[in-house]
Amino acid sequence: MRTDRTNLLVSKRGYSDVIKYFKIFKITLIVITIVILIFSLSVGYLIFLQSQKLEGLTQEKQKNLQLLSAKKEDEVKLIKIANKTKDFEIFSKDDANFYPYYEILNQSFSLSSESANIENLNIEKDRKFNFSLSFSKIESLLETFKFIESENFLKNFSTIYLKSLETQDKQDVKLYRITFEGVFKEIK
Amino acid sequence: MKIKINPYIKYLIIENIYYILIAVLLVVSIFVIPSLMLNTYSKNADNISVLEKELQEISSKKNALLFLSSTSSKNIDEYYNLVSSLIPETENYFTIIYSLNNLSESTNFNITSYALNLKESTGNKISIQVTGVGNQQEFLNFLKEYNLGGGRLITAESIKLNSEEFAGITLKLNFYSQKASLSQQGSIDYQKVLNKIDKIKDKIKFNFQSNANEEEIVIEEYPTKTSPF
Repeated sequence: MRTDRTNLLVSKRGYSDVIKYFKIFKITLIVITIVILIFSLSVGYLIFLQSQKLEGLTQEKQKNLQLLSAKKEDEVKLIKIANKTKDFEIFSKDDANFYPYYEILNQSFSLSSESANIENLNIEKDRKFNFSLSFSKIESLLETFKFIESENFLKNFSTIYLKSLETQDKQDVKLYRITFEGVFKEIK
Repeated sequence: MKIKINPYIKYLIIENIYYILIAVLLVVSIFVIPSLMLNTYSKNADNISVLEKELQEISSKKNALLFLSSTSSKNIDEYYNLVSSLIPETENYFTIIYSLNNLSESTNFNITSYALNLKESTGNKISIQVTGVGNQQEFLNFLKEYNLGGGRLITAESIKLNSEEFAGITLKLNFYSQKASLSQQGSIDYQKVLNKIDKIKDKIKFNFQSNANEEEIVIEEYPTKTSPF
């Protein structure tokens, strides 16, 4: 006859392991619950704050819209004014904005040499330019060359290079003409 | 076949059944709660950002209108008329001639002829070839003032200056017209827009004022055009 017996001595270690696992399980459970609780409370609080902000903003929007609805006609005009101003800015980009760039050159050369004379000047809307200077004295030409290479002059240009140097005899007077090409720095 | 569970384990399971149920709930909530909350949070954040932008736009409009109604010297019609005269809704050749005439009078650069440049004109841009006579200073005055001085926006895509050819200089000038749209793209600071127009207005006023100051001198130098025709 076979009977079920429990060998308490053999299973004691196994049972204490199970109890230990359950203890770890309980502690882990408590820790995870706390973490999830903290997370939920924090995010929940943030969501609560957001909801309050949303409510406040919606109320403010409604209030402002009510004020604007009393001036509907003016509001339409204001939008049109803003769009026209935007168009104005877009169309203005088509302009070569000649005068301030001319002034830069004129002032620069009036400082560098008395006899430097801007003969031709062409400025495009993308600030590309070419200009010619004429001189009756070689000394003035050399003086101007020195000035053109100075930082004070070069600061006005993105690029600038000498395109040509010509000499011409006009009524027994030797004329020197230099032509430059390049791109101006944008004047804000 | 029936699974045999150790009675002690069975006892432990029954003893900890609440913990086990909590663990199951916790596992489910780990997957559900954070994603749900974060989803709500990001949705709310998006809604707040959209509302804030809308509110900024509306407040900007409201403040600009309040500013205009609080100052007696400025009104919205004045601003509207100014931008509409700079860039009219539809092209009006009379205003082109009128603004060129204004420019001519204010700068002393005498415009002698106009020719429509159809090749370079588009739906909202009229290109006009203008020929004028004047000395270097008059031509430079014209270049200084042509953008707004005539009361319309005028641009020149490229300008050639030849010191020997001031008599009979030819320029290609562009005039614009554009139907004002009511669409709103992006947030606009309307107060800034009004300030920009104030700056433009100052330039035009300055030109008109200088016209008035120079009028007497101009009459002595050469006959000015009073009729655009």
